[in-house]
Amino acid sequence: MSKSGMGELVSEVAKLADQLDRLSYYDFLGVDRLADYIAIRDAFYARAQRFHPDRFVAMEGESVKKAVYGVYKRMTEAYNVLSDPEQRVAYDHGLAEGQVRLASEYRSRRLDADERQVANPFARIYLRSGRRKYELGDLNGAWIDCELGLSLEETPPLRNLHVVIVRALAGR
Amino acid sequence: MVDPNIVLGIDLGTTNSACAVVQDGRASVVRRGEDRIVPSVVAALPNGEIVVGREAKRMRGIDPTQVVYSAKRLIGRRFSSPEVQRMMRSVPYRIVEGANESVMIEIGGRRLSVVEISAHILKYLRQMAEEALGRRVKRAVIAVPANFNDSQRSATRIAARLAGLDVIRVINEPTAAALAYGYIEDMDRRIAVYDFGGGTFDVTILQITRNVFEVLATSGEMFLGGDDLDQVILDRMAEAYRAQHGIDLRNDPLAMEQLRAVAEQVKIQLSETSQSSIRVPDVPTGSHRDLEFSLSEQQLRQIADPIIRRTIPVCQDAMRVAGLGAPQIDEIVLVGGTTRLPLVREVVRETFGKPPQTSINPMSVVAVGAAIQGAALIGSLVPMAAGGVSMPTMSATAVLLDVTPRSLGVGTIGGNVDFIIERNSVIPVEQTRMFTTASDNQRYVRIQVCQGESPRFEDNTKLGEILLTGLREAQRGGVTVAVTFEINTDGLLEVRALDQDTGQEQVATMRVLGGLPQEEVEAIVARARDGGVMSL
Repeated sequence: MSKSGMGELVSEVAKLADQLDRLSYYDFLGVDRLADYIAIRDAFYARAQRFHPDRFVAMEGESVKKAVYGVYKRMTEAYNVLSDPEQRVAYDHGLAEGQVRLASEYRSRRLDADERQVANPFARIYLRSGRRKYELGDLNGAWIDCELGLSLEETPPLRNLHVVIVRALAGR
Repeated sequence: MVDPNIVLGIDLGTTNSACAVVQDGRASVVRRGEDRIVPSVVAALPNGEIVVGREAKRMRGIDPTQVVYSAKRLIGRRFSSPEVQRMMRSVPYRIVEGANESVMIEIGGRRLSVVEISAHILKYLRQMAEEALGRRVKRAVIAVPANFNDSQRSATRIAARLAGLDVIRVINEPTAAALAYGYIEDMDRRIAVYDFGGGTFDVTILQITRNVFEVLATSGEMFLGGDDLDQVILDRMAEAYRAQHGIDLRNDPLAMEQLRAVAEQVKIQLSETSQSSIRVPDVPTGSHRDLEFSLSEQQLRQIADPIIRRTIPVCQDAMRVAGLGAPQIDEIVLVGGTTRLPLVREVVRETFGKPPQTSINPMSVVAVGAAIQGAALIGSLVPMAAGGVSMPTMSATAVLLDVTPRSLGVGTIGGNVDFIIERNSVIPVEQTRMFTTASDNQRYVRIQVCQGESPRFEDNTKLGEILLTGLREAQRGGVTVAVTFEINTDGLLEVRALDQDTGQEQVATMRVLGGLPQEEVEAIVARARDGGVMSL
């Protein structure tokens, strides 16, 4: 990148660093509030190419580096939250009341022991939703969730749930 | 003269190490004579002098108690951990407990920490590079296994510092291997990195989306590698010896060490030829008895097959965790010397349904990738004109994104874990938690930190504890400290603490278990500085 291009980038960083308390996660990633997962991911990846601290390693001046690090860290936070469907819902609620960040305790996922065994976040959501439907007696819905979850990740909690559902369906 | 434009890419392996540099947009492996690979072995000579590499490896046939190998298995671990205990039972050198639950090794009549052992290897690599390049080298990018935890990463970093290197980035080994193949230019690919080294087997599935590297899954066997193949060949040699001389060598550790080196040569030879016949003179030394031994590729296949097939379920496990089937894997990259065996390549092909990439030497591919990342970081990588050079280049603007391989949590009452940073979060990432005093006038808070996925604290890797000291006097519940846990771009944990009510910064000391205490590190660094280069 040319020198002037880098200068532009630095002033952009400074602007973002000044607004850490005002801009939403959507603003930081430059997406609108209806953006889907793919759009959010692409936006984050594009941001990372511009604002990753590695881009500034060779640059003079600690204050610029510090600002970049702060801005980029907020971008990763935005990505980590907005790419998790449940955290995103919680965030949107808070944002409607003017909170630009999701409170830290909501940003770590409260998973139970079974959910923790599932690596794929979408498979995890199917597991949770399948369980809920099973408890509510919606066996068909639970079975579909379970199948979808298993198609993403073959993991013991989903397999066990699958066995339970199939047994219940057979007994009916 | 230190050249600021040179960054050493380092692969500090369990069995072998290598380093590479990028110069004029070209990556090359550093060599000393014909050697591109340095055995990760450190030994003490009878006069107490410490030697590294090939010379140290030769000492195994003379006095195995003075030869330290596989130190990577010990780095950043607590003395009481199962891995260290297992190593204690299986290696001939002496492992003892040091301060702060650290692991120390007794060689040459003194105790060295594992960090110092690794530092010796790193220093050897640095000097080898300096000799080859004819100038001083200071900066380095060092590769570590994707599943290394915080203690292991920071211990590796400290070792590099002791070796006089300034580590500008710690990179995951599979990421480095993929970088060496230049996959960064591509869009949306999934790559399996099949790393079959001397002592360990790892498979990592990476997703690369527009220069972003995401580790989807990593699986491995801690004790599975080329050494196991050497062992089965060695067993055959002992049998042949018994048939020829009627003597069982298996009770003679020195003779076995003597033959082990030959077994490794036979294995390497059979990667390229179909038959290996050798005569080993004077086994054991002084006996004037020779061993005649021959092995065909076909026979090696038979005895190696069960060992190599153990990698298949590991690959399947990784694909399952990544939620991918073999057809969805676009490329397979081979890392590690054992992957040079034709049988290994066949097993890979069978498991993934397509042939692996083999154009870069699997022994140096990680070092090359680390060097490319180093050059990209300092901006010395200029995209080459089309058709200029064949070496993979990386556009000067590309960056790597990594995720944390494990969840980070703190211990709670009842031995459970409160997870604070989830695995697969893109780094850097930070989280803040509130800690409140539980009794009147409590002056400190102790927080236990672990990495892992189990809801039980004990089942995870305990990293250490954070001590918040000098809290102001107040009634119980009167002091709330906000503790921020941050995993930085190197995957290392940093901790900060703030008194919620006064806004005062609190002292938060992180005591890393199994690591060297900070004062100890400073002392070693000072000793190295005052006492010249080699006294480390």
